[in-house]
Amino acid sequence: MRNSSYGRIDKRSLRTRIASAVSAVFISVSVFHGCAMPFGKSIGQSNTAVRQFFAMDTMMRIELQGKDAEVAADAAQALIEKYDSLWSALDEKSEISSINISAGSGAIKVTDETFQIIKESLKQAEYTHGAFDPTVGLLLELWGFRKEINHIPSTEQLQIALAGVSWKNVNVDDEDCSVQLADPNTRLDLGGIAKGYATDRLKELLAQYEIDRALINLGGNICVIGEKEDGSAYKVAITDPLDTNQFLGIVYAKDVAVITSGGYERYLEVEGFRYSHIMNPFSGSPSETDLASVSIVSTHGAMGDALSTALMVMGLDQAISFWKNNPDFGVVMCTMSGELYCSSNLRDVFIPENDKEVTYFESA
Amino acid sequence: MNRPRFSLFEKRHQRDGQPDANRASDERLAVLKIRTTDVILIVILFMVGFIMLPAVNSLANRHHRTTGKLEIVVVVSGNVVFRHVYDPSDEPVNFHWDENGHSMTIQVGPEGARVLSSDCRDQFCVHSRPISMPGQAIVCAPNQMIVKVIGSSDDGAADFVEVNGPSADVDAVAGQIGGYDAP
Repeated sequence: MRNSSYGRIDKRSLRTRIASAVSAVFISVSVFHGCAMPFGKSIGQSNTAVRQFFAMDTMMRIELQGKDAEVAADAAQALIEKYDSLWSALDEKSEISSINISAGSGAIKVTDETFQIIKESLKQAEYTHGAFDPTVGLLLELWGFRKEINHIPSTEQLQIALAGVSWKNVNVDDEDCSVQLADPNTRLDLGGIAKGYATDRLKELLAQYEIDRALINLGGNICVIGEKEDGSAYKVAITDPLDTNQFLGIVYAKDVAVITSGGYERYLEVEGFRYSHIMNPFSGSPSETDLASVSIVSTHGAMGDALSTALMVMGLDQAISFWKNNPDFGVVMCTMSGELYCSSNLRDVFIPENDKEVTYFESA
Repeated sequence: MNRPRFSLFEKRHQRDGQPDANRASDERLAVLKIRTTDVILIVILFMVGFIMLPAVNSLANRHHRTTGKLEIVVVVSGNVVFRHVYDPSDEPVNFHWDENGHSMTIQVGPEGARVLSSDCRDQFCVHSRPISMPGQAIVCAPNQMIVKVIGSSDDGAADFVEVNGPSADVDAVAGQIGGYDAP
């Protein structure tokens, strides 16, 4: 009878009910907690992998989610480390150093990876009319961005170095995969393109491992694959170059690279003056224009990386007219006086912070 | 005393006028010895679980809470070699690191932390701007060193929660090297 069953709750039944109650609470907390966990914090899950390591003279962080995330993350790290060993201008054993040592003499046979990035860098140099130039290696060295020098190079030194600066001095031979620097003062430096190029190759690599989403941060060069688990875009902030404790705004990023160049991150201080690490390949001096930072939003990482440098060198007016003729990327620029300029194709992608006023420019 | 076991169900059945159609499911429930009150109890417990969620999250993130103070932490090859509570009004403090034939000097001053000198090959760290906000970092890859600003946690342990720049409300910050987790 019912009444008797209510009245006679034996110990076993009581234990079962207590266990059920505790389980219900535990399961519900776990389920709700799991649902509330954002992608970035779910490091312990089997299909999420995070790697962070030093490479290319900076810090790399890769966060992946997908079927073979762990295997993919290992492969991604190995690829970047391989690129680092091949392309470091400071490592005497790298292929770039071998090419530089042989400047003005014979051609050097290189791996396909090195050959392809050099070709890509030349393509971007031509595209930007030389505002991005991968041959500024000697200038970087003279200005002390490669070793501790606390003086400004002499005019004579700069003239000698400038004579070697031109992407046209780099001869590539497709047939035997070799590279030759025509001028003895030409020095390759892929620092302005290597990380962006690496993100493009990483995207190809990760596609083979069925990676659903990824947040790749190569020393501040951000590349996102896919969208967040909840279907929203990744929020990539752009630092205000005039007050690095603030953001200019947020780029809502899906399947794009967001790459920023600005003199505020790395600079040289000589006799009280701060010089940007961005070299102007035309003047031979650190870039000094009316721009404080340039951020590129592009599906093409190598192009984005090269363009962020090139547009900084061009200055605001030239940069705007360049974009008007080549509007296949997005750009956010902050001038030295704090004005914000943005290409019209980012109107719904870039949201300025604190209702900052933005001047949008349209394509030609 | 002689109340039917599934009174709520049966009342509904009577309202619907289809007592036979639901009898089979009632019988299945009866086999499982689940009563209406048990169902209600399970629902209540699930609700309790949901209400407890913020508390559980709070406990899980307890070590991430900060006191509002900032600390400068220097990590070399994964080991914390220097920690210093950062206060812009304090006199500058220099930390000299010398190990395995490599050396660096880090200064914590009014502008934040900066690398004064380093014997590294590229000098990128020396040419990096001072850092003063949680999540900002200076990286010296050749010396495997990171200087990072972190929130000073309640229990005094290093708070390496990933804060990828001035705000934790973004996924990444373009142009900033930060975003380094616990070694």
